[in-house]
Amino acid sequence: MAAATMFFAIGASPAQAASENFCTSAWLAPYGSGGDRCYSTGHTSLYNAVVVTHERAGCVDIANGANELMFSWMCGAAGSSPATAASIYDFGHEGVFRKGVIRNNNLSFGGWFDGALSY
Amino acid sequence: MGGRLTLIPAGWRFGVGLLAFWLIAFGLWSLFRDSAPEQAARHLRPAYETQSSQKWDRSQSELPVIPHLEDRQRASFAVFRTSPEPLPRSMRLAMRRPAYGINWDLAQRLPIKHPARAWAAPGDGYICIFTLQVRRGSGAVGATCDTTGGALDRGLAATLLTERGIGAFQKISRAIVGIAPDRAHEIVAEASGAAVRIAVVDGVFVRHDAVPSPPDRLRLVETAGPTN
Repeated sequence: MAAATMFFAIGASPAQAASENFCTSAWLAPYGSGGDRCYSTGHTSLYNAVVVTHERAGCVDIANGANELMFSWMCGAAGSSPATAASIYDFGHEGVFRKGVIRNNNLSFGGWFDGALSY
Repeated sequence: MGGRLTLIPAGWRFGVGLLAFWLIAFGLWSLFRDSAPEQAARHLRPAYETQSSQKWDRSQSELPVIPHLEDRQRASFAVFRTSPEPLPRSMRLAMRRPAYGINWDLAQRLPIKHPARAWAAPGDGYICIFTLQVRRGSGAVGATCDTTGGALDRGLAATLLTERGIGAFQKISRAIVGIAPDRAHEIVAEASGAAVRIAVVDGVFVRHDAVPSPPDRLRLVETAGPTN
């Protein structure tokens, strides 16, 4: 349900931007352990990434081609599905290869998350 | 062999058997204790109680921008009863067009500068918190939104987590910024069994700390009403 509807939650203009889901229904391990985050495929025109949360709060960020974070994580509360919990819009990096990345920041529990991006 | 066994008293044999049974049972329980729920969860998406009151459909991405505040937004949130502080042009360009009917001109600046500046803005039955991180001419806008009803029930906050360094030397700083309705004097931000209380001042709350988790949920602590 979340995956089907969240394209519409990010305010992208369908005429100008393409959208795609990433890490759909991804189980992310507790923060700090392997598998606590999930990356999208890369785009040079990426401008927006979002996270949809279920039982735990979640965060979204933009990473460069080396998977290095470009900004502070933007986080939203648990239970946002089917809408987005948090969005991040990147500006000033047109032409740079970038990815959306979502993360579970809960220290104790894994959780389900979804991501989507526009480019 | 059987003769030797018969030399052991029946009570001892029973006791040793019982001990062995419990040791095996404990071993099996320990083996599966941690992995069983995890394994089950991988295959069966658990039911959970959603906190969000957003019921999204396509039409909500096409809501017209509200020309003025809704009555209950003005009546319930002190932050919206002062002169608007519109979103900067860079943020508008980054987001391209408003969602949720948010009127960027009716935004209100929130008292935080690091790691980002922040605004609250009203929409058509929605409220959003926007953040702006700027680094040498480029940057990022963050957004988190809820229905006006959801914000009235529990407040609304954006959380930013900033990481510096890697591995054992990594330091994390957390910033929580948000708004609460007039009846709240504190917000409880709950995550993983740990909760922090944040004072609400003029309808706004801000906290900086080193906790690496964003709050799963917010809860209002209401100001006691007049007693008769």
